[in-house]
Amino acid sequence: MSTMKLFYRFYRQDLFASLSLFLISLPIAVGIAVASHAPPESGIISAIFGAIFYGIFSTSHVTLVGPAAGLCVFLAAAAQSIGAFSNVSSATVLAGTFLIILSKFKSHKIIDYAPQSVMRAMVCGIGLTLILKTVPYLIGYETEGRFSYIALGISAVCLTLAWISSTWENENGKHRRVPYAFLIILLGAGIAAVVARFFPALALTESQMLHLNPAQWELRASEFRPDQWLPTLKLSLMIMAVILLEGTVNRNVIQKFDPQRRPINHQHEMLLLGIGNVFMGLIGALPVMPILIRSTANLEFGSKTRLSAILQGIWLIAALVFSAMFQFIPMAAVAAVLVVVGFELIKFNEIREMFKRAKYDQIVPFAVTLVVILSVDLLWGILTGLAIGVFNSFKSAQHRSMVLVQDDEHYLLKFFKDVTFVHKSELKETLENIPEGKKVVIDGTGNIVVDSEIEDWLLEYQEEAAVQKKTVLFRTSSLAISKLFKVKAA
Amino acid sequence: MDSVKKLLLGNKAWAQSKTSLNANYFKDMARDQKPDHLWISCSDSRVPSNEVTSSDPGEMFVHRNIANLVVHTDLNILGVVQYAVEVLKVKHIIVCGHYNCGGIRAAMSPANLGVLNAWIRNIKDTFHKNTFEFEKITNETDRVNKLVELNVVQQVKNLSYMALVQKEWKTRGAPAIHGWVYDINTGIIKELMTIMPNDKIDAQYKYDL
Repeated sequence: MSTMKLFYRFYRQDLFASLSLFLISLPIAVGIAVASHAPPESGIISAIFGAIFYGIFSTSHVTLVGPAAGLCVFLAAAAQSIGAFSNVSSATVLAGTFLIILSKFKSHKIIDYAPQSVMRAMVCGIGLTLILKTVPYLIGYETEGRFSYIALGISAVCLTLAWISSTWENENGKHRRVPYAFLIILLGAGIAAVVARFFPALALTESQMLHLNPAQWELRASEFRPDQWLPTLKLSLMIMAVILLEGTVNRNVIQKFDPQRRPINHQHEMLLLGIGNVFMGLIGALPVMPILIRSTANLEFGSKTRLSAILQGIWLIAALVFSAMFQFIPMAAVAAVLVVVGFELIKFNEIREMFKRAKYDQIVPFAVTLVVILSVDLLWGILTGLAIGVFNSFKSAQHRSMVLVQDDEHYLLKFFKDVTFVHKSELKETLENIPEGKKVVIDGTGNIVVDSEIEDWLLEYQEEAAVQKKTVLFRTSSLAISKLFKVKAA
Repeated sequence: MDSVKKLLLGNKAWAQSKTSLNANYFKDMARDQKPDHLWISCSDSRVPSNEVTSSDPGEMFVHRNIANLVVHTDLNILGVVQYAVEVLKVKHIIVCGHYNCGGIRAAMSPANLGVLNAWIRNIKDTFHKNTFEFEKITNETDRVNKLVELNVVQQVKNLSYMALVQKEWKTRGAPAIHGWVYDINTGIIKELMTIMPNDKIDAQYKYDL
């Protein structure tokens, strides 16, 4: 058998997977670029680079890297303060640099310290913001009060189609991820063309259509604005944070789906993301990170090796070459695709589960983080959520740490867990409740560590208590860890 | 506070620490016991059975005596073994000795211990039976530890010589008998030997069942 035939036989699945993948990546990449207030071609360039560079160099066979909805929300917001997208790109370069530095440390482990509820709120907040920001495109909003019924109509049709196909997908397991995105775009383009032909007065204006004319490429290399260094820095930190947190989570989730369970090197991946983003920022393209939905789609389309990702990149290059046809695509259709992506980020099932199980230690951080993300911004939201997580773990550290029991004149305060500064308040209250004239033994023996701060406080308490005629003794044993409770050497 | 008072108060503290997390901790435990193991170890205060194995109340039926001996005429241990094997139907019997055991040490010396002599003589018998094992060992600690191990092996065999254990092997294929030694210097338990149900035992000790 000829080598061509062998090649085809072996990689056939990857070939087909790459084609389907291309069909959904293209509109999403463009949509994300538009939502980021970036030139549409920057999204495609990011998608191409992400697919090919990571397809070749990543240790993962199943993780797809490309422009992500999670980042576009604050890229757009930053454009207000920082200026043109080329200035925003300088933040991408910075973020990439930070990631390269971070890759030297085991920074992917930070995921283990972030509560799941906070991460979920982060992704959910991003999805919600994305949808909210996309609404103007859905209705063809131009200036104050002017919008287009046609755009509205197109959006309605496209969204309905998307909804139908997603419910159909869920029941019809095998046909998941039929390239609804591409069909929606086609349909939208079709409607717009028909309207332009037969009802020219109602036609969509040029700004309501997608521009992807190579002759009019606006791709600009990154330019740093020193006068806006603070917002740029802030943006770069947010980009870095999202890539670090959401990117690592996505990567971990996708790896679970790898049917061959091939291992990956997290630090290497982080380094690649750093390098890739520096390059993306320098040429003015969108930042890239591991993307969950398209990666799982890749697997569901039957991808077996990294070839499907690389081939997808090649199809995207071809699309760029023939991009003149994109000017027939109405923004409303692209917006519809984006809205669907946004919805998928929200993961209603998981949230419903969380509320159903009434796990308040998860619901509260989730809700608070989400509110802060929507009302302030992503970074503050994550910080708030993390603070709540830390607070919760304080509270659980206090749980059942000590017990006070009594028998006539004698009181015993026994420590069952390590005693640190978080226990000081409980300790004070417990001891102060002991009436006068009693004998108290404090037992910090056993495999328990008592903070030296607490030890000092206990000694002070012993002195004060003597005034109140309370005798305070410290039980000692040779097996104790803390000095206060250790038997003095003979 | 005297040491007895301390024990009582310590008990209150312990009970409260359990119920503060699970109000029904003791009620649940009080219902019945279903331990999987019969644990036979030395009475030495430094070998607390649950602690060294990280096991909870309810997991082990325990018998402890000096030098973890299984003596054929000892009504005490006979009752424990019978109850554990026939009624509780434990799956494993573990004999766990420990290095530097005082009873073993006493057996290797001519010290006259009064009432204890008769008990310790059981260990002297094992010592005598295995003299050849000690010819090459000169270090005092190593000699004691060697007898600790030989003693454990002998007790495991003693258990297999019991008719009620052989009968239980026949009817339900359990319990397995394990011989372990606890190294008091490292905290680690070493497995010495195991007799699985229906393994071959010395012919003179087999019964018609």
